[in-house]
Amino acid sequence: MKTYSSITKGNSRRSFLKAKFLWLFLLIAVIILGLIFPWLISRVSAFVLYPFHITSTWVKSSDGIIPLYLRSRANLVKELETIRKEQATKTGTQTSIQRLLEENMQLRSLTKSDQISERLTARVLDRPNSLPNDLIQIDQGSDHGVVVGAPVYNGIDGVVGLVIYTTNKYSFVDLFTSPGFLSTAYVMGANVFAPLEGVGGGIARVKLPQGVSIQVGQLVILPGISTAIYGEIVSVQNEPTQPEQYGYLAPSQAINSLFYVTVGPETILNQDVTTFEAEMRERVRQATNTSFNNNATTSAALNTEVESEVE
Amino acid sequence: MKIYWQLIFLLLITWLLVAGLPLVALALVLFYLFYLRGYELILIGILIDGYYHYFYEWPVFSLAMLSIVILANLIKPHLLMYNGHNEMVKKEKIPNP
Repeated sequence: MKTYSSITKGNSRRSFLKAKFLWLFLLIAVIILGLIFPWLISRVSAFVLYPFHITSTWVKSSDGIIPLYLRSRANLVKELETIRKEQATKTGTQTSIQRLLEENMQLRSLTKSDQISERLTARVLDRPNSLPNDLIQIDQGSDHGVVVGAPVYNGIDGVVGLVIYTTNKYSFVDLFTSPGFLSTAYVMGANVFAPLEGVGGGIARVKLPQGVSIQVGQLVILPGISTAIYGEIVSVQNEPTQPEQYGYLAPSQAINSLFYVTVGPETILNQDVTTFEAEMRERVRQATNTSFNNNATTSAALNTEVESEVE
Repeated sequence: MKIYWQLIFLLLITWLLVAGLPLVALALVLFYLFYLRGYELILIGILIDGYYHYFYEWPVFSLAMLSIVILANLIKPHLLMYNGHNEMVKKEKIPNP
């Protein structure tokens, strides 16, 4: 029994292919027609797609509950994506910082300028909440090599303060945030030197004139030591009516949570400020005298010229 | 795919393209092409080009739809798990000699 006809099958297949290509040719013809008469297709499209246009406009700009929900959801998703990107960038930056730090340490060790290994490790015995005047007490004294004026660090380069008093067995450290502490600091980013003064309560501030751009997050370093950071600016007080502005900074770690610190091998107060100032004044005076002598010489020469002309 | 699903898909694709979400529309287009030949998608592409006045420059959507449809119809027979008689194709295990 014959169940199929090869002729019929062939015919149906041929007709199917024919219909398929007919459709394709028709559509391509419409595209060509659109290229020749673009205005015609545009008008037809505007008419056919009008309901779609209306609904999409409604979703995009209506104040209805559903469109509003959809829009806020879309905004939240976008915000989430932005935060994720930021997070990824931050992680990358952290890795870069770590790599640079490692590289820096290696280079320092190569140039023999690494003093970190020479530092003394000390344990903090007492903290500002039990000691007056924002001091900390450490368990290393002059017997261990601690000298007055030595910088005290938290971590690799975070300066906590300076040793102000030492006994055989223990020492006191004046924090840079202690009231009355004065130092010169360098503000990275703004690239200016500024006086730093302790305010107390774990806060110090740098005073700058108006017009200098300081921002939250800028590092403030102790310029006298190659690896010493006071901290970063956590707040800026800028009142346009005042002649100066303040950048408040806090140490990287709360003083109350300090347990171990390291003490630098030598004092940074090698030269007495008074002596330095006197020396500087003397140099300025000498320079002025030289200038005056030059002028005197010049004026004497001029006088001689004038006299010779008169004669 | 039933005819009403087909209609829903076509309407949704058109709406997405009008609303300016071509990537979402592309996903639906690919899904649609998996089940059907999808010549009607070229018509949608032509309408969208007309809507955005792309016929004054280059009919991007029409050409893209045309390419996608032709390409999908060329590739599809090689991806199907059924042969021409609607039977599952499976590899016979070759007995070890």
